[in-house]
Amino acid sequence: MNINLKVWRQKNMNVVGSFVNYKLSNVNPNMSFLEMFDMLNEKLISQKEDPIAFDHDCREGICGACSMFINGYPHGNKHGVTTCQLHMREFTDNQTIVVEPWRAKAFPVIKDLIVDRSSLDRIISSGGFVSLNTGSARDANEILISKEDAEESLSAASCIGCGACVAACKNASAMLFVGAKIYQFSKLPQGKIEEKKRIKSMLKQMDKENFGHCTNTGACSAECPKEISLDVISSLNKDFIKSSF
Amino acid sequence: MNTILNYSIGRKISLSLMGLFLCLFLIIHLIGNLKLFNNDLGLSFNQYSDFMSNNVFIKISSWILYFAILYHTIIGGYITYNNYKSRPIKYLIQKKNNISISSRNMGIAGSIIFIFIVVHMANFWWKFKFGNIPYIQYVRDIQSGYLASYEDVLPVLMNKNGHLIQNISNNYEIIYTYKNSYRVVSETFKNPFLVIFYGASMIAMSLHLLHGFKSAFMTLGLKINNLYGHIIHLIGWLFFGLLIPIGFASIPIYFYIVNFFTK
Ligand code: HEM
Ligand code: SF4
Ligand code: FES
Repeated sequence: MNINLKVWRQKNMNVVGSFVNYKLSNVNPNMSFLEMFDMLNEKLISQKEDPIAFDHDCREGICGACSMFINGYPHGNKHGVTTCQLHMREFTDNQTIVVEPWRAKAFPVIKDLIVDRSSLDRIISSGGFVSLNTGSARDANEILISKEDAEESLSAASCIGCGACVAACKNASAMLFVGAKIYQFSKLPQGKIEEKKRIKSMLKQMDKENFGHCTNTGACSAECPKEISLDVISSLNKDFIKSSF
Repeated sequence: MNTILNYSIGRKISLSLMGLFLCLFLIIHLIGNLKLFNNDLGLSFNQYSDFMSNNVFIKISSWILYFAILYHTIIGGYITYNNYKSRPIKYLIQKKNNISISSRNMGIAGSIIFIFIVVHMANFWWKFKFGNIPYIQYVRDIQSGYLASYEDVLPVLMNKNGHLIQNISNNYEIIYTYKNSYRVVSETFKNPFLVIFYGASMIAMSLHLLHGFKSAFMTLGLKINNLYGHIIHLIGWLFFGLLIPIGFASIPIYFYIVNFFTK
């Protein structure tokens, strides 16, 4: 298949970028979106042009590196997948595909499609430690956790920190990410010990990083490749209220 | 308190509490205003209006209400501005995946409501308070229950507070004299532009509350994907998105039509 690409190019953090059009022919529909970009980059290199910089690592949907805003959707218009898991068969022959970096004040563009998402890392590290007994292996049934709580905690923990929620939100709010990161602990007894402190300091860091306020629109959850539920945000709000008294 | 407002969630919580207070006010305000539809020559509405402008409890509540409106507007404005700034460079294409028009335009709908509130206060609150409102006198025949009214009377049969009921009956009639607020409402809505403006504002309010009511509960910690969440969603949709705005909008439309045909 043949495709037309309109890709954001930007040399570095300090210059203004712009869109550049590319044509790519003989694209295999079974290629992943990133493989299509590899193909384009090979072509650019052979033409002695600067290849397009884009983030990627695992290419199996678990690391969250592959940030691309494709035709108006983070990770493209397919539900529950990352860009590396999106295939060219989702597009039609001769379609024009617009590819932009995540846009947020908290995610400055480093080069082309790569953004700096260390703001999310700083939120995580501001959360501090969790009290766990280390040493020899402990009895698995020492701390009982109900099946439901374990499931809910684990499904929140499936967040891969990709930032698609921020990219999709009209306010560039990180509440789904922060909600998931707090929920995974607050559902478990081990997480209760530092709960208040964790909530306050992670939220303080979130605001410091210039993420927006949450309007509860649900765009984040609709675009999240791991389908994190919007309820983690309500839960965070509730825990914030509880931790204030 | 100050520290809670330093958090984005804290600001949203204060916004949602004020928003829900305004929702409560809307219910009370509508119930009162529906007296305009009573077929009693405006008596019950004028009585209600008289009560509202002289009761101490109502006076205190109304100052709380003004505060809530200003607070909600200022914090809402701040949040909207801050959110806008959180994405300095916009996308070339951004699709709105299943996200309601209502939730995307809270700031715009809210601003329309604020303009509406200013116009509405100028139309009625100002006139009731400072305007020269004509008096109306009601006479009821106790036996038949028949009610009659005389407009543009002098406020002679009133006590020194200027508003009360005088019973000058010889067991057949009771005379009430009130400021004729009913007529002020009726005459205000002879203006078709104002009727359209009121209608449009109620559409904005419907939009604001279709999302706002449920969102406020989510801000206060309600999970939306369970039974309680669905109930709140339904109440927000049915009452605050539909019935209450229609109830309010029906008043100017009713008076415009009645005035139109009784010309
Ligand atoms: C009848 C009057 C009003 C009522 C009943 C009302 C109610 C509400 C409610 C319940 C919310 C949801 C709070 C939340 O999401 O936690 C809300 C949000 C909001 N309101 Fe109002 N409101 C009214 C008037 C206004 C006015 C006059 C403005 C002024 C501009 C305004 C601006 C906003 C904004 C910006 C939001 C927040 C949107 C966001 O979460 O990003 N509202 N309102
Ligand atoms: S919540 Fe979902 S969209 Fe947001 S960072 Fe985690 S995985 Fe990505
Ligand atoms: S490259 Fe790891 S999730 Fe796509």
